[in-house]
Amino acid sequence: MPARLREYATELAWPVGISLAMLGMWELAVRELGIRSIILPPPSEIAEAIIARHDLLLTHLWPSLYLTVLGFALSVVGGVLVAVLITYSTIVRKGFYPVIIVSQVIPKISIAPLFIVWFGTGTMSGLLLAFLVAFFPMTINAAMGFQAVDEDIHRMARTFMGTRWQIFWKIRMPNALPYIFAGMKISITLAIIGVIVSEFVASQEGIGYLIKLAGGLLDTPLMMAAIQGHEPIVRLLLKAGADADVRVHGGLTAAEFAAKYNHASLSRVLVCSQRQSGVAAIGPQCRGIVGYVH
Amino acid sequence: MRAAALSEASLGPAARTTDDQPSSVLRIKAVRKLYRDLEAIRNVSFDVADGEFLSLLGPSGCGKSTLLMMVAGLIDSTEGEIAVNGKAVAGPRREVGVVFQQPVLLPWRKVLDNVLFPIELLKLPRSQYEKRAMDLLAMAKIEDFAHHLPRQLSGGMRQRVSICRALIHDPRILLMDEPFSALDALTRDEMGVELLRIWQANRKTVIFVTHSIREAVLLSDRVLVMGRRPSTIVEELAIDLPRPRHIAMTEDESFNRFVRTLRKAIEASHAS
Repeated sequence: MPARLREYATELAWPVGISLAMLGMWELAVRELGIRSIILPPPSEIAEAIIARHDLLLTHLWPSLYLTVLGFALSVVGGVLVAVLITYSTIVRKGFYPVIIVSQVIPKISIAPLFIVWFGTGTMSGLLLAFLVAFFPMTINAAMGFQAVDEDIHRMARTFMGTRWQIFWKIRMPNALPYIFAGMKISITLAIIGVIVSEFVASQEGIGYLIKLAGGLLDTPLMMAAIQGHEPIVRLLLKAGADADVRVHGGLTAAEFAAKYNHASLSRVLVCSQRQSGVAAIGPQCRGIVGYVH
Repeated sequence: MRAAALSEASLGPAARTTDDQPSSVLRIKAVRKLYRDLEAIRNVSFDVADGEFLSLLGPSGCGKSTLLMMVAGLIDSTEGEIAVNGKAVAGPRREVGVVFQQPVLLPWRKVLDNVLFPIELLKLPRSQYEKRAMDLLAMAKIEDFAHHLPRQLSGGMRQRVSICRALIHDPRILLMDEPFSALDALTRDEMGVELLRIWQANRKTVIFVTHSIREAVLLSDRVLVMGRRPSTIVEELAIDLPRPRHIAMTEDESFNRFVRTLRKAIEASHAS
């Protein structure tokens, strides 16, 4: 059906076009205003970094994605089940439902450190936090959907001798579907937040870990000193054990930063302090350099 | 032609059998309904003959809908007896089809699937009833909309679908709770005549609740007038106008004589 296809294409063209236009403006603004990429990198540089470090990103993306999807799926199943209980059990509806709603006041993210204490830094904490934050909107939406059945429809089904089971599957469920999908839309984003936050707090892997690591690296005094060209400080930091091999986003080392901001001699000092640049770098040109730590 | 075929089909499985009371399909005896201490219905008794078109006429809030819902088995009576085919009503029954004030269609189901909904609930084989559903839709002149969703239909058309749904499982009794009150006056008259046509072809027993005197006279064999709360039957009137009836009849003197009699009965019940 070409007509349907064309319709689909136009539907797609708008958001894609707008996104591209915004990326273009971003790129242009960064370049024209001369904003340093450490403050706001242009999209092209971000794309470059993604391509350059794709193996690292993928390694950390996988555990985050896995936890998000699993936590989300659990929250959908759990939320719908609890919503069924709320719909059919007076005790749950009158006793627990208000408690569930009031408990929403507590930002569940804030108990992330507690989860680390209880379940360790592994996947369990991340999964539970993702589940916990995604679970409530799912439950509340599904419960609303199950209960928002017109009383007349319920009566009609009863006159045709519909059983409770039939009324659930043929009326309540289809009636609740739009509500459930709306809940899923909220829950999936919350699940991602849950996972990232738990990785922020304590983790050895995942996108949250990577963000925190990168954020930490950006603040590395060595980088700042290299950018500023402050040689005494750089030497002091290197002596104190600062790692010259560390790279920030885009893959720049302190040495490369120094070079970029025209501090050639300082850059040489930093290169000589790198371990990973190999023996080749530690040539005669490094001899006599005070910062040389090897 | 289709209508004739349908009436024949509808006589098939649930063919009229003669029992102890050959002519009485529904018997209501000394029925009383209390809501806490509020007496809604006081001592109502009447019989409905097989194939009869009976109207319950009365002002809003007089308990006529409550009475209908008790016959449908959705509400229990406080005292008295309601029996369908000689069996006391203790809950919804297969022999009864209900048309509500609103069409109450399931918005996510197509028209045909809405009509077949009772078949699903009663766990009857759908394939055997699909033709019947199409025949009913054809009789209601909405077969072209069988695969449309309810929201694509007008109010009158939706109520036609709801009538088809009430008839799909071939009930003996059709209960109608002010089915046309949500429609505009023009559509309403037209729907009344349509209903008579469908009823003529099917010959169900119909109990029709309305607050329109005109509608009651135009459609019924017999009209029962219910007074204000606590309500009882204050007047019973047989409408012996010839059938088939049509809207032009509402101009006739004989028609208006019935209307006047019923109005007087209602006014008298207000005064007392």
